[in-house]
Amino acid sequence: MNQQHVTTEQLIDYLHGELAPGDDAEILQHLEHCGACALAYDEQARVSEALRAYARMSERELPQGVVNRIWDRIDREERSPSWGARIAAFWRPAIAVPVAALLVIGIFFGYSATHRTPITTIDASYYLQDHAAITGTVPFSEGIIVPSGMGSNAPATTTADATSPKLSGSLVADAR
Amino acid sequence: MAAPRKPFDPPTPEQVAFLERAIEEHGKATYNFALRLTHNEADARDLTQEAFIRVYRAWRSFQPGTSFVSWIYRIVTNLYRDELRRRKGRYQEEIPEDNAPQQYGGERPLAVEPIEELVEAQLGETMSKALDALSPDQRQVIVLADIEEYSYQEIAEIVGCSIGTVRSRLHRARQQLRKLVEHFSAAK
Ligand SMILES: [Zn+2]
Repeated sequence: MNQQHVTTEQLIDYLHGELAPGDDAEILQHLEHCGACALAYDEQARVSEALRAYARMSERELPQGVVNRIWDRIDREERSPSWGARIAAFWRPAIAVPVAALLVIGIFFGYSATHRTPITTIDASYYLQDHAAITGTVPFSEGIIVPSGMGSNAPATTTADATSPKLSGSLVADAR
Repeated sequence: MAAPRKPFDPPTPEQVAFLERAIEEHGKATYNFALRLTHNEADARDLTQEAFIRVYRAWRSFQPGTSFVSWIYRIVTNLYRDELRRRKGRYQEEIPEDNAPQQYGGERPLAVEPIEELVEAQLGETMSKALDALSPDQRQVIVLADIEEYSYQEIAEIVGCSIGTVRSRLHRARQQLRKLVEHFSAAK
């Protein structure tokens, strides 16, 4: 290969680091001694540089409208087939226990409130819906009732399978 | 790839959080990738939206420790391919060879180096036109290899073809791109 000029195909593979180490070294050596091939390599490299420069200058922000449409669709099609399903989804032991405790307290105060002032009533189902909606929107925000271990590998439900992906780190580590 | 939708599969907080995080961390990259593939804003918006819906539905099939970006790029690529098939007739799979604007003037030595001569403002417009004139397959391999800087192996996995196909497609795409750049910069 040393005696022959480098082909365009080889140059492109070389540029993308796709040659075997031996071939890679040979081409490097050839480029150091052959002006014509070095020139051809520079031209190929400039194509890649121009593409990256173009990509940088044409980069856009993700339109907020796209984000909104994603969540709208999920709200419409996926997250709330019905209030019954939403409540059933929410009504699981890990979350349900602390909420049930709150609910009991809520009902108690609501009940005693109705005794004092009959107009002010807090409906238990309203509370459930409200809480389910909040939980669905900001599941990992701080200060919310989250079962211990959630956010690592511990599923929030007792029925969830063990293949539940680890969220922590998996996306963050992907800084490409 | 499309997750089977169970009749009763209530969302979990982890699923919602997974999507939130995916959009926050990779929404912009995904949108720009879609924009470069399609070269069309409306298509890029639709593609991005659809890709994240798939991410949401199939979130359990994501393998922790693997690249999320590669995963969603694969989703975007597949959706785009399906969309192109659906619209078949409006797009060609490959630009016929005789449709090339003009011959570049043979192989080396290269007397003209059009890309080097382009100033930045010109570069944007010329490159945009040149990329637009590539076939979707050629544009895709160029975007993945030169802009996103994936290896041939990674591109083969994203696109769903062999490494040999990636290599030959990239070679042809780059030759085509150089012709097109020369064509559009000479046209000024
Ligand atoms: Zn040479």
